[in-house]
Amino acid sequence: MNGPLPLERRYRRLLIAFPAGHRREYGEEMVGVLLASTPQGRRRPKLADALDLVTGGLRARFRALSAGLSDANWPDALAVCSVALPVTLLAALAVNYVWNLVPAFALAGLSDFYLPSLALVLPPLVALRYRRTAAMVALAAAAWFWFLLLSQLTVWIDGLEASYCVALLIQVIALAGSPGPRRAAAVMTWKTWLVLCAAGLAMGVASIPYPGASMYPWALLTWQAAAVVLAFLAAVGAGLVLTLPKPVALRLLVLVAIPAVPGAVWVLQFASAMAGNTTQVPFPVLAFLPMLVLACVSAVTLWRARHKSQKA
Amino acid sequence: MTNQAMQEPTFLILTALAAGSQHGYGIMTDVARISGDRVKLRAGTLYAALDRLRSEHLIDVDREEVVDGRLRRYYLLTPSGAEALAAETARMRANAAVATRRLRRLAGA
Repeated sequence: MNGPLPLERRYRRLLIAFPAGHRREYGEEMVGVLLASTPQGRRRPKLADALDLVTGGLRARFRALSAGLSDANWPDALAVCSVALPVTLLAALAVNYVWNLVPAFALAGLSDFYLPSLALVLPPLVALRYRRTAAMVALAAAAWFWFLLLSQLTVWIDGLEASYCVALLIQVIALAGSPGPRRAAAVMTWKTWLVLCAAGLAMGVASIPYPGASMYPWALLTWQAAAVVLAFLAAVGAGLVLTLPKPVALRLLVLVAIPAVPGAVWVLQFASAMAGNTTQVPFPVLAFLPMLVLACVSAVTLWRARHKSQKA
Repeated sequence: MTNQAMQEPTFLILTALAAGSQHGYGIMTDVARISGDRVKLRAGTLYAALDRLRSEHLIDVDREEVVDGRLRRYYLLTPSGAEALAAETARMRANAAVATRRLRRLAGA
């Protein structure tokens, strides 16, 4: 049996530009129309038709994406995110603080850790009354950390600092684009709080420094550190999926993954340095590019939220 | 319904369907005829527009046929599609009337 003609095959290949749902709904019909509108004997699609299919497909994908982003679960996921990041960091911060109360273990220079954590914790507290003001506080804090980062910038930036900057920008989007922490409290169960606190406590315990030669007891090999980080992320992810409505949890994971990636990279670099590997790969400066995009999205979300509230 | 002006391809597709239900290729050729061959919709643009108009409930599927082993779907204008087309026509007519009056005044001056 003969397969489709070369022209039809080529048209079908071009239809890949469209989302799968669109292809299922209109694919056969489109092929029919394309073949009917092509002169007999032609073996290749016209360039104008090919361009039209690709741009039409991209437009359809963009529409599908924006429809997906505007679904009702995103505001809930953003609301939970506005609480999840600060609660986790607050728990980590608490462990560190308590540890530092023991004089023998107190270390200087921990303000590097406290300051960004407090900057993340503060806005949701403000958001209980003034959500948009809280988003602006988070944006101002992000701008401040950016300034600090850029002022000490040589060629590479620190993954942990990058993670804080990204987390603050996500916080702006979460506060400006959602009903805020009060809604989060309604969506989250006590088990979700437990998962977040446990994640924070684990992070805090892992970051406790010990006086001595190696300072950290777990100076692991890079692959071991990677296994620990992946297991930690998988456990937190599973915990959130099991304790939140699934569509909200999946969207929350997408949001949390954005600051988690530079954070995980930093942990691996740190573990690698602790294990005596001096040729560690620093976090590339290109990481600023997505951060810049994120900063723009945060600012636009905040502006839109304020604009809407003024119109209402 | 938004107050924004309708894009020309949308206006022409709805105008084509105001004559009765048509399939994709029929809409393409009718749009070219209505616009005096000025607007030639291609399949990618046409089906992106048809999908959007369906989701906005301005058009709907009338019936399906299989011709030479291929699916052929006929689209029709819904009552809200007819309403949107009438509103756009009225808006264009009002704008055209103002422009005509002013041009007459300009020619008379």
